[in-house]
Amino acid sequence: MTKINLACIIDDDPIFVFGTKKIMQVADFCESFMVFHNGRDALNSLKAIIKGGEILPEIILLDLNMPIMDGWEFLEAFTAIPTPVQIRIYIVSSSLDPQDINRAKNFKSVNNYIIKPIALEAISDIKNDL
Amino acid sequence: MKIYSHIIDDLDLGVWEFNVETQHINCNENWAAILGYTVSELQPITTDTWNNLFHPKYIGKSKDLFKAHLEGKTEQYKCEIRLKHKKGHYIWIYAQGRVVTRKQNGKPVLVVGTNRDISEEKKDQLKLKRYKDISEIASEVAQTGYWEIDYLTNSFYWSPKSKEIYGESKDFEPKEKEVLNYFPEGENRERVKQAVKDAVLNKKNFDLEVQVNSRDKSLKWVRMIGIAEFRKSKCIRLYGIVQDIDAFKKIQIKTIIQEEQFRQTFVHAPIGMALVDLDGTWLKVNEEICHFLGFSKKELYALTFKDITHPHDLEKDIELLTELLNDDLKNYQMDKRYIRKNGDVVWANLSVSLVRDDDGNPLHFVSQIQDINENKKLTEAIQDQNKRLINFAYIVSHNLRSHTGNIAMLLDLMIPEMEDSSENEYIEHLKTASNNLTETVKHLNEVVVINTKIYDNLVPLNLYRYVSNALGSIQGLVTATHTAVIINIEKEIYIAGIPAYLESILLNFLTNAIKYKTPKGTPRVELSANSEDDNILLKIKDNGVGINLKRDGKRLFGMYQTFHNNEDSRGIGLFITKNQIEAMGGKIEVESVVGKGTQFTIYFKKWKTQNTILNQ
Repeated sequence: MTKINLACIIDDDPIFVFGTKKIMQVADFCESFMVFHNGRDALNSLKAIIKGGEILPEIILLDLNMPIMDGWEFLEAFTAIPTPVQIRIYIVSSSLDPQDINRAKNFKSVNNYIIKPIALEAISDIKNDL
Repeated sequence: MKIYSHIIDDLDLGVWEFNVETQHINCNENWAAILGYTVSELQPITTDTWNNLFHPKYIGKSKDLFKAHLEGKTEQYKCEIRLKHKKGHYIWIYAQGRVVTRKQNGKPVLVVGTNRDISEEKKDQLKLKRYKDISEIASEVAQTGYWEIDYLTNSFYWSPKSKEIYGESKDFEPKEKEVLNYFPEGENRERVKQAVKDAVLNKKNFDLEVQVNSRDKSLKWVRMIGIAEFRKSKCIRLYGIVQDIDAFKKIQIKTIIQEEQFRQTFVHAPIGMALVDLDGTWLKVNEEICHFLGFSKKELYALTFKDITHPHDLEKDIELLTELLNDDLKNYQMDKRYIRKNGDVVWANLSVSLVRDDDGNPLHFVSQIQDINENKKLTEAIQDQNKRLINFAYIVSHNLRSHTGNIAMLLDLMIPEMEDSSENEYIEHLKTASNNLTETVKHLNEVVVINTKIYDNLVPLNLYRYVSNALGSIQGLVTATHTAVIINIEKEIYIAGIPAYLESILLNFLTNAIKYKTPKGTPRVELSANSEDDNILLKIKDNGVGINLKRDGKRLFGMYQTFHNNEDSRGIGLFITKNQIEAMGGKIEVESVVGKGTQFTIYFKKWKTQNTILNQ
C-alpha cells in the first residue's frame, strides 16, 4: 500500500480525466498527475523525460481510442524504448470487444485491461498490485 | 480338206481332224503356230500330244463336252480351253468341232474342228469381271445400287444392291409396272412419278430423297438419281442409282429438330443468349441481349465481349474462359458488369459453356446473360444498410458506453460530496436513470457482438457438464424455491458451440423456469436431450405459469418485451438467448399452456469428429 509519486493518464476525454483524478484523490492514490490527450503528446514528453533523466511516472492509464496517435500505436512505440525503471501500464477503455482484450494480452508491458467506467475499487486494486 | 486349205490358212484358225476309230490326228500349220510350233516339230501328233498340251484344270471339262458330242447329245462340241504355248505359258483357245461322218449305226468316225486363240479377248473379259467386282464392292460400301430402264428393249434392271435396298432377294426380277408400288402412296409416290415423267419427256435428270416401303414393310429413306438418255429426241434409256440414306437421314432429321429447338429457345428465351467466337466476337445474339445492352445486333457483331465488359471484371472472365478452353472447367458462372451503349454499368449473371467438335476441338462458346441489375442494386443497398446498421450499433454500444460510463462515474463522485444527497429525490432518480442507461447499453453491446460474429470458433461442449455447472451456480435459487430439477441427458453428448453462450443460454432458461414458477405446488424443471439428424435437441420443460402464445408468441423473443409483472424481468434475456442460439447455428421452439407450463426446445448443432480435425 505504497502511495504513488507520479501517475500518468493518457485519454482524450476530459470528463474521464476529471473523474479519474477525483477518484485517485479520494483513494489517496498518488502525489501528482501527468495528463496527455493523445498518444503522440505522451510519447514525446516521456521521451524527453527519459533523455533528461527526470522523474518518470510509475503507472500509466492508457485509453485506446484517441485522435492523432491511439493507444495501440503508443504501446508499440513506447515499449520499444528502454526505460531506466519498469512502468506499469493499464489499458482503460470502454471497448468490450474480445479482440481488443486479447490484443492487450500480447503486450508484456500491459499489466491489466480495465473496462470503463473506472470505479474506486479498480483504483484500489491497482494500488494493491504495487 | 485340201480344197479349202488356203482359205482356212488365211482365217488364223487352227484346224484339226480326228479319226475316232483309228485315233489318227491331222493338224494344219495354223493349229501348231497358235501354240508357237510348226507341225513337223510336234509330229507325230497323237491324243497323247493333245493331252500333254492341255492345262490339267481344263482337260476334264473339255473331254466331257467332247464325249457328249460324240454320243450325239450336242449339235457341236465347243469349249474354252487352255493349252500350253511353246514358251511355257498357257493360252486361251476357243475350240469347236463337229462329227462329219458317222457309221450307219451312228458311231462317229471323223471329227473336224477349229482352234481360235482368244487370249486377248479373255484378258478383257477378266478385266471386266474385276471391274464388276470392284463396282459391287463400292456399291456395297456406299449402300448404292444401280438401276436401268431400257426403253428400246423394254427391259428393266436392278443391281443386287438395288434389290437389297428394296428388301428383295438376289434373284428377284423387278417389273417396271410394279416399281412405283415401292413408294408409299401420296407425296413420295407422286414425287417419283413426276420426276420420271419429267426425265422421260423433258430430259430432266433427277436427284430425290424419298421414302420407300421395302419388302419387309419398313419405311426407309433413299436417294434416287435418274439420268435420261435420249436419241433423236426420244428417251431410250433411264438409268441411275438408288442409295440407302436412312441412317444418315434419321440423324439429320433429329439434328434439325434439335437445332430448331435450340433456335426457338435462343430467339424467345427471356434471358440473353449468344454464341461467341473463340476470339470473343459475337457470332449470334438474341433480342434479349440487344435489349439488355442497348446495342443493335449489327453494332454488337462489330464488337467483342471484351469491349463491353467492365474493366474490373474482364480479367476474371478471361481467366475462366481459359480454364474452359483448357478443359479444366465444363462451364462457369459469374456475376459481372457490362457497359451499356449509353455508358451505364449493368450487372448480369453470365453462364458460359464451350461447344467442341467431334475431335474435341473448341468451336465456340454458348453464353447466357441474365439481367440481375435490380437484384444487385437491392443487395448492394441491403449491404450498405447493414454496414450502416453495424456501424450504428457499434457507435451505440461503444461510444455511448463511454458517455454513460462518465455519467455514472460523475454521479458516484458527486453524491458523497453533496451534503443533502440522501434527501434529494432528483439525485435518487438520476442515479436510477443512469444505472438503467448503463444496463441498456450493456445489453445492446452484447447483441451487437453476437450478431457480428456468427459461426466463429465453435468448439465441442459436453451438454451434460454444462447443464450440471449451470445448476450448480444457481443452487441457492433452486434450494430456496424448493424446485425439483430432473436431468435426463446422456453424458456423452457434445454440441458445437461457444462456451460463454451455452452458459448464458442455460442460465437464462433455468432462471426463467424458476422465476415464472407455479404459484401453487412444487416447481419442477425437466431437462432432456436427444439427437435428430445433425442436431441435438435440448428440451427444458417446466410446470410454471406458462405463456399466452396466441397473444405474445410473436413478441416472445423480441427485445425489451416482458409479459409478466415480475420485478426481475427486464425483457432482454430471451432476445439475447435467441441470438446466441442462432449464432451457433441453432434455433428455438416453444410450446406453452397458460397455467400448465412451458417447454422450450433448443436445437444445437451436433459436434462431429470432422469438426475436431478442422479445428486442430
